[in-house]
Amino acid sequence: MLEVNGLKKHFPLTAGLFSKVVSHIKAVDGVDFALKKGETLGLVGESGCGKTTVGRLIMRLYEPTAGSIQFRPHGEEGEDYDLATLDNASLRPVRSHLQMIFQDPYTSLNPRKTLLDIIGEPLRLNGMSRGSELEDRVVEMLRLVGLRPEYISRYPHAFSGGQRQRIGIARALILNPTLVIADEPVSALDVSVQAQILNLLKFLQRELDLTYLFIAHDLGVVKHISDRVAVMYVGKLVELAEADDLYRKPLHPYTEALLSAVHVAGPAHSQGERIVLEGEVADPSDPPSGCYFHPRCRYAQERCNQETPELRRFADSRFVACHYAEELDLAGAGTT
Amino acid sequence: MDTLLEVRDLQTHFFMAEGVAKAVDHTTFSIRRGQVLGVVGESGCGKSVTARSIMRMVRPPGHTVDGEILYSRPDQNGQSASIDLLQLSATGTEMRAIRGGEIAMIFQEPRASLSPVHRIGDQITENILLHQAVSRLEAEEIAVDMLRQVHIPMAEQRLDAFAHQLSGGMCQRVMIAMALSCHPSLLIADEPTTALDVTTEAQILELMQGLQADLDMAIMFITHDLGVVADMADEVAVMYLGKVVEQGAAADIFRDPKHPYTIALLESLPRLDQKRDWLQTIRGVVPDPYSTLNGCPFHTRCADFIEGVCDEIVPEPITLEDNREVRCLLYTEHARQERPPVAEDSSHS
Repeated sequence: MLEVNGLKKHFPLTAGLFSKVVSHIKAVDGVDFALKKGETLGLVGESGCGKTTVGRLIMRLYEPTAGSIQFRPHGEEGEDYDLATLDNASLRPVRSHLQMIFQDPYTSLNPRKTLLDIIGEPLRLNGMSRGSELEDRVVEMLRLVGLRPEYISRYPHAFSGGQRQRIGIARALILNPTLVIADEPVSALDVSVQAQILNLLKFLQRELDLTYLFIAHDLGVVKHISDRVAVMYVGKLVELAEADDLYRKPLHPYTEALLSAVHVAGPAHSQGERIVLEGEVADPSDPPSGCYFHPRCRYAQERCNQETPELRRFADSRFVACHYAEELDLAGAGTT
Repeated sequence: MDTLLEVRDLQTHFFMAEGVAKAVDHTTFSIRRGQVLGVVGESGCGKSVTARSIMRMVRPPGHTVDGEILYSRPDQNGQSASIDLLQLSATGTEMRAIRGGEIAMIFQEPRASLSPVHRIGDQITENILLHQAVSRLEAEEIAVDMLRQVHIPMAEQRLDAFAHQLSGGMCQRVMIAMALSCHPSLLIADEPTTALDVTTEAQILELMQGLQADLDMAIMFITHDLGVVADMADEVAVMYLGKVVEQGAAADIFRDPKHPYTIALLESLPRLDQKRDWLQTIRGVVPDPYSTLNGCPFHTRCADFIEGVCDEIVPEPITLEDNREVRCLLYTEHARQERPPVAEDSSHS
């Protein structure tokens, strides 16, 4: 349904009086993946790796520097749009198929508007309904996300973080989108509320046949909700696989390190060996030569310093960007 | 058992226009010398206010209204003597000597906790000069040594750096160096890794574990992350609405949680080692802090709620077999009188 090819976004770094461009931050530097209808693709990585930028590029909140984003909201036989090249006017009708849920439920809602205004706004803007018809739709959405219909005339300050996130979900879903990009939707929430929202997202996906691009840094959450998982490091995908495969047996050393850093909330013996990476995430404006991960990789060899590995097909549905994926035997997390 | 700090019936309330918020409400727990106590709970449960109460850093409208914080330290003769921190003046000499010296604290947002306009070297030496009888030069040597201990490369040069020139992980290392520069016997770490990425978090946790063993200090590790606690803590205290609802050895709590809240929290986590289609949720939300609930504070959300018992009787901490303290009526006489244990019924059928 969605096919991203060679997607790049370089932000110019400027300096001096005339804002001369001195270099570029390669926030997203050649990303390829595809999304099937009805699936959830988890996109994980540390802050600054470019995962949010990927989401925003697909929403066309940023202009891509290069690459294509093929979007077929109605499946194979329907229309085919390249989101990367459409101009604003032709984007408009496509946008209703694409919606986004944001991380911070406290800042993503306008405090001066009631729920009717907030949730109904997409419908009003697209001129799809008004008046009592609009109100009926909003009430329907409130019910769907587990909020009481009476809340319709209240303001966001009256709601807790979890309820606000439900409001954000209702707003995103009112136009019946096909693809929902959820950017860290639960990372600002407490665990018990997080569980409620994750269950809601899963329920809505089944009910409304939604496709999710789920951007998050919490590997436990991503495993729970995703069918497939893509791991990102400094603007590139380093691994893409079925969730179970990726967690059971990672192919990229970075994935292995990420998994080992996850703490299991269980007795001490359930904790695996923790791999502590040296140094810090590479600077996207001046990435290292060869494989971007090689200065921190404990398996790095001469070749990693010189050749940049491409994301390649390893097995049927597994992709990895590591020269030595075949030779390494990496530890996963969890067995079931 | 060598108790370093004992908190008894601590009550810190916030007097607001809307009413009195009992942020910390009859909290009781203890920390042993050289041990890591993990304090877990969701936002608003009072874990940070408890830490601030110990440090005597609660600002108005918050006041510590009652309780005892017994801190034991060697007196002049080398004998261990305990003093009640709440009896000391919060701004007096003695409390100022303890705060930052014997009991140090690190915070969640490392960059916000460092001064943006002072060089980090000056910030560390300021603390050393305040608590130790050394010259400025010696203090600088200690600072460099501390920066090396927290694995900051090129420590001498970094003395001249400002906080904005360092990454989040580096700032947290500087905070740790500053906190440990006076060899505290207790380090209070309030969500020290929450703002950091997982791989940076792993670095900081590894560092803290190493330093804890080297320096033989106790750590009160406050976090909402049950996984981090499982990995770091010897002992765990679970807080809900200002009360410690369960405390015990970390291994026991994660193997066999007793309090319905602890059980529900662990069930609601997405886990790497288990496949669950739906996550367990805790019904309802944390009650409004200004409301007064009768009985157990968790009864409105509890799966094992017994009508007429849990909403009337305030549970007191009781000690179970493995030295576990639980504040729950299910483990008392009251529950047995009200209804026969479910397990017995099913064994007959």
